[in-house]
Amino acid sequence: MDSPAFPAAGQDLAAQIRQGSAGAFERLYQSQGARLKSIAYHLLGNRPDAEDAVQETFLKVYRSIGTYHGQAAFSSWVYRILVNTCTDVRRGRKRRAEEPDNQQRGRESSVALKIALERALVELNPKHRTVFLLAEVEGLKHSEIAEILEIPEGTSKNWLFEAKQALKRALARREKGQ
Amino acid sequence: MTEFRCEQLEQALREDDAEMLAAARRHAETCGACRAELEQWDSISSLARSLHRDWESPGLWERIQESLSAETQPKASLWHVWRFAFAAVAVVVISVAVVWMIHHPSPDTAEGRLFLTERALAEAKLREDAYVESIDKLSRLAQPVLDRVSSPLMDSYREKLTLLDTAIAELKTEAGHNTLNARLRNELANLYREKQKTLSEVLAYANNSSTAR
Repeated sequence: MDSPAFPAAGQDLAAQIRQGSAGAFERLYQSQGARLKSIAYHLLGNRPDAEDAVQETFLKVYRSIGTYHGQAAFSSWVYRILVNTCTDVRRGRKRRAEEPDNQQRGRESSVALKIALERALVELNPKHRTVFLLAEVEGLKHSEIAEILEIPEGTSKNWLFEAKQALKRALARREKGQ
Repeated sequence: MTEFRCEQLEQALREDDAEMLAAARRHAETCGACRAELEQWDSISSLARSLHRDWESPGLWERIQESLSAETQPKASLWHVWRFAFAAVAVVVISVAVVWMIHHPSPDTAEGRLFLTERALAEAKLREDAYVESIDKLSRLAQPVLDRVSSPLMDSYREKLTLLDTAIAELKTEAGHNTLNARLRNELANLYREKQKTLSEVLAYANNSSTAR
């Protein structure tokens, strides 16, 4: 049930975290920290908020591990907490999404299409952006996304299709504008 | 196997069905429109994979560790708060008790010093009677000297004894109204002692005078 990103069986990791093992938290961070940060970055638009969201996610995992009974893959449960945390942050802070900084912009000027896609992604509605991010950017399966977002797998596929259609239109508009 | 039609491409992409997509790709080899559509689709997926962000976050794990540690602290902190509260209450209670005891002394302490018990009064009266008896004997011996001798020193003795008698009379009256008042009893005893001493000095003066002659 667990994603290959959780090499140690997710249920074992969950059991260790339930027992308060600091080492288990560290293993979770080592194996998932980068992916969690990346997801949070795309959902929140800047690195500091992304790191705060990851930190908050770990706290929420600690606080609510007692409510996790293996009903979903542990990885899906953790990502669900992250996505919900980011949603709360977006609602609460209403910070301006961070534009790619000048250094990044300069370095990536040769990949203008990538930047255009990133900007178009920001303009997607949240549910489409989240599914696209999890499926296409982070490579999660629809079955995993369905668990994370607590939606049917068919809905996950539908939202991804709609997201890609919207991105395709946005990129086409950009090409026409140039 | 039925032939894949262009109008099925959207369904294949929407359902993300592996078999349908494989058929669509075979169809695209001979269909320019579907090939262009699939290339755009694949291009977005390819670009998306490059959007994965990874950056060094020095200190993030430490922050997480600290916040997790802090999360486990509340029970201990709560105990510290309660322990401090108990200590503070204990200090207040003890302080109030000390203040109360100062302002409400027990009969065995302060009252015992200010007022005599019945037994102590009886003992004090016995001592006074002994003084009175001694003073009466001395007075009988000293009175002839006081009446006979005329000198500045004897005048002062007479004056002193008159003052002592007046004071003793007043104190005896006052002590009669406050029989258990220890202060009055002590002052009365002092006056008796002073009168006894003064009479002894008068007699000693008389003896010295007769010897000198």
